[in-house]
Amino acid sequence: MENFDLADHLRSEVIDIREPTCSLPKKILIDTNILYFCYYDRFSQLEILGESVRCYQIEAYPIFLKKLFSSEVQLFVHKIALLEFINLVKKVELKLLYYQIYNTPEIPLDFNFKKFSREYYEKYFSIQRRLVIYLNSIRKKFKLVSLSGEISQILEDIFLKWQNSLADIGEATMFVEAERDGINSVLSDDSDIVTLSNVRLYTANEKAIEAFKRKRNQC
Amino acid sequence: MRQDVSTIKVKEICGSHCVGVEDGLKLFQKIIEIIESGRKVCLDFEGVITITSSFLNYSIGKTFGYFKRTSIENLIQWKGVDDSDNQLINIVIMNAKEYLAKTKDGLKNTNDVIKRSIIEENGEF
Repeated sequence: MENFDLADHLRSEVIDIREPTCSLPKKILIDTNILYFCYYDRFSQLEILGESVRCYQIEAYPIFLKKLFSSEVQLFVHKIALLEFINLVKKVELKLLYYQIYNTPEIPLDFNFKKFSREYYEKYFSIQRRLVIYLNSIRKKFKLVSLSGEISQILEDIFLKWQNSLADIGEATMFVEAERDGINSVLSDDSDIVTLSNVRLYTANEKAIEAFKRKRNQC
Repeated sequence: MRQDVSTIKVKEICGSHCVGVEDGLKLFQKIIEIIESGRKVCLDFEGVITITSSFLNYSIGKTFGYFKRTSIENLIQWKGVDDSDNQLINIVIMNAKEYLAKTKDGLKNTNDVIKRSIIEENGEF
């Protein structure tokens, strides 16, 4: 295994959202993880009922989001982030349903979501209704990144962005299209984003913040 | 016996954007003060622009966790929300009631299923 230091791959600027003086962008892209920290109620529910420890994400990101709302920063989501959010919530809800029905938290490794959804379609429809409620809440506050341009140019830009980064291609796609809308700031808890070029990452993720500090000290 | 209803103007406590733990806990404190004094509470959301489910969990959901009884539902009313926020409040109450019905092991297992699923889909959190 190679020695890995995130700082060696860092290509973006990192801003610690917990710093009270951090400057705010005019436009910002909101990543999938922020959507489920703030908009998926299961995430914070167990801590509230005394069964889990509060994690920093539950604390830091809503405070910053409130700051963005109050400062009238324009908030954007990409449809990939929305689809990832929907997919994640759908899978968590289906696994909870499996646990409810079979009374075991051990979900089989070969768990077939499609087959299970068909078998329990009425419950699946109720999960869909729950998702629509979450999405209605999200759509009130966020604009969608517009998709425009020639496919060959977009693909070329995506591959360029993705190359030599540790982010996945979905993230690279989101940023390429966001840049076309004049957005290069993103709020995310994903430290791999720092390996993408021309991005300003707003985060509370310590790995990303420390890597940025190390890199700055090296320069 | 008819119980008195005290109204909380949510905007005065949390501002126009009710987003997370901090706002939720401020409202939670107000709610329990009223309920513990033997009154019903009415949450007036007039003037509130943003409500997230994490805020609702830390205010309304936590009230269920604090009193540990589902009948608390009858002591909380709300107004001044649109249809989608109304549905969100109902989801939070439904989940809180569902969780209260679980045993300690049941809660632990539910927690494990949620955490494992998120980690599998999205890496560590």
